[in-house]
Amino acid sequence: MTTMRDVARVAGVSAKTVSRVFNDDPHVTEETRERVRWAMQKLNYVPNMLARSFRAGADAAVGLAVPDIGDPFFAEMTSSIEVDLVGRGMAVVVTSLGRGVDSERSALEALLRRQISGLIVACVSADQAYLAPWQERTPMVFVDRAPRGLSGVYVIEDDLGGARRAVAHLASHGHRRVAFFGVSTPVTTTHRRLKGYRSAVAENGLDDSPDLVCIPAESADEAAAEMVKRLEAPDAPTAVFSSTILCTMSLVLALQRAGRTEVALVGFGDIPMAAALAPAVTVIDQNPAWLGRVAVERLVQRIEDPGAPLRRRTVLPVHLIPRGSGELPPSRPYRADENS
Amino acid sequence: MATVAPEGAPQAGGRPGATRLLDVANAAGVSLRTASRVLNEDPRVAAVTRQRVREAMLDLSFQPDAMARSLRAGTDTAIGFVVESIADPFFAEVIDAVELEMSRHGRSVLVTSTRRDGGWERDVIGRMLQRRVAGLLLCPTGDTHTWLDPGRVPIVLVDRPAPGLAADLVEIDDHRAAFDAVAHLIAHGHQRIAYVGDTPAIPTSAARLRGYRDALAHHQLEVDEHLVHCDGATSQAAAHAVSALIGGRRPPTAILSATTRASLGVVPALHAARRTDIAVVAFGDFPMADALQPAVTVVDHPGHEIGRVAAARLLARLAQPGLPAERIQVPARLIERGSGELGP
Repeated sequence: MTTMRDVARVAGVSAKTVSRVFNDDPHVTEETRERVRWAMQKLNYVPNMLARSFRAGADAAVGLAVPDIGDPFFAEMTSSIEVDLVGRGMAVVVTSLGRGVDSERSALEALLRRQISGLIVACVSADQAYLAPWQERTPMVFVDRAPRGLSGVYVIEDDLGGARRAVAHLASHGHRRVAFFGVSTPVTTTHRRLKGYRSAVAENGLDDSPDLVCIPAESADEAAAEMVKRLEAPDAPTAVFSSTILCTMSLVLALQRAGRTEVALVGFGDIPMAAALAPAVTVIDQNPAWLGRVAVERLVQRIEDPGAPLRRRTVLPVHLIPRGSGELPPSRPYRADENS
Repeated sequence: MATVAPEGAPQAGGRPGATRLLDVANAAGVSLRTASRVLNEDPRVAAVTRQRVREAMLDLSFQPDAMARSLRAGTDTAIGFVVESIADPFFAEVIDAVELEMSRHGRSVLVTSTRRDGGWERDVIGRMLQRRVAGLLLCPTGDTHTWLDPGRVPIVLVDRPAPGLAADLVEIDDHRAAFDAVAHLIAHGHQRIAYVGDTPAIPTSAARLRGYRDALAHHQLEVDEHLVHCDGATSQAAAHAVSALIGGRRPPTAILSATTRASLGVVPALHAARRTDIAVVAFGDFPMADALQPAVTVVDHPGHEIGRVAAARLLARLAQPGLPAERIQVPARLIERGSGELGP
């Protein structure tokens, strides 16, 4: 389908200018107007009525709520959602949900009160029932995490399958003692990844000692410090499956500082600089940009035709990128006195 | 003229003619108390009853009070933050600090980006103001901002000035920071120092480029224009610039990477080409910079501090609208980690 962005590209102007031409904005020169019309004809472009109505009224913005804009995963997803919506002539208003227990509800309600045309949200709390009355008036799509206590449209990634794949990969490189590393959280993604880890442990006949599940703290930095200590025990794991991007970033740094880069590692989610690190970090790649695009598509369907039947659940596949850290063989049992 | 409510019947929104909670209760065949419990999501209500009350609410277009209140126009506690790009690691840090500071004062933050389009900037600011934000933090994009009236809404500029707008500004001394970074590389013996950064159309980038040139001049070194790449607006473009630099006839022995986005291209490109012998100072810290080998020396562009100070200034201005416009500089320091201390 031709988008406003395609028209903009062919006409050599910004999407904003194209949208101005649609709306007969007098600030566009006749020459530019002509060029945009020519591009529209050339591409057989039919202006999207939805975007036009957005432009005309006060309902010109879509709300986006994410746990933490500083998390590289959500930063990339946010960026892709923004580019996509701006290309459709809509603005995006973003808010983070990460501060305090009540913050999700108050932040979302503050956003919903602003007559937004739609909401894309990655929730942090354990219950979204409070959104039920809002959902009647504002189309919503949940990303990365399915809503709880509420029936809604959601787009998630294959957390369970990805975790299983990561642990099976470590098993195929000879590891028998694989740790699950995460932070304690009500967020469902971590729970599904833990489930995937457990399936793979059973399927590959790995050591299933409960103390290999390491969820020692709420903050990734503290958890990583604990994990490194755990790696010094006589029955230490030889490989780690790290369940989130922030966990992996903290753990990589902690392993480097402790001189423990011989420990095999697969992280869920790609991290910045992964390929430049030594060893380069093997990850389950999530494609946050794709997640964002699919969420926008679902939301726009929802806004254009609120009554239409819509598949509630969309699960996007993930894949493993081998880079080095996940292909390390088990090293012999670590002894703390070796390095002294 | 408000209609008089029947005695003892609390109204949902207090709006004349609106559906009252009592109407909902009657329609659903439950007591007012039960209807109110459903509204407050009290778990003691049976699922069947809850469903019946919710259906009655929808049938009668009942608006719970919170929504009704919100749909009436009026300034509220949220503030708007307009940045150039939300996903940029520097802005992510600023946003984080602003949110923290504002949440301490019971305020929420709505963020939107200009995507470097002056027309779009004007549009998104218009929409923010339509949504009645109490104040605005702005990292400006366009060439002129005379259309924006600081008398209408309190404004604090973040990181760079806005031509034509007399408002508070919280920034670092970009010229000085770039000058010091280049002087640091010169002190470690470098003479062929490349610059990879963004277009000088952005005031902060222009100041950094001037700092680079002035530091070389100060040390009687000539600027080789082949080593100056201002086309590194994206990480990909910066990575290409590095390929061109190291493939050139006289490659540099050191690079000043002048923005975080550039660094996210420059550093992986040097690793991929196995040229980590080339010294690097990166403007702006970035994730994993200290886990690399060598760890990356940075000019800490203190996003957190800039955000905190800007938020505090906006709060002060909200409390005291008559404050004179001020220019506040936050210090930026060099963090030595290894890559900037390599010799030629």
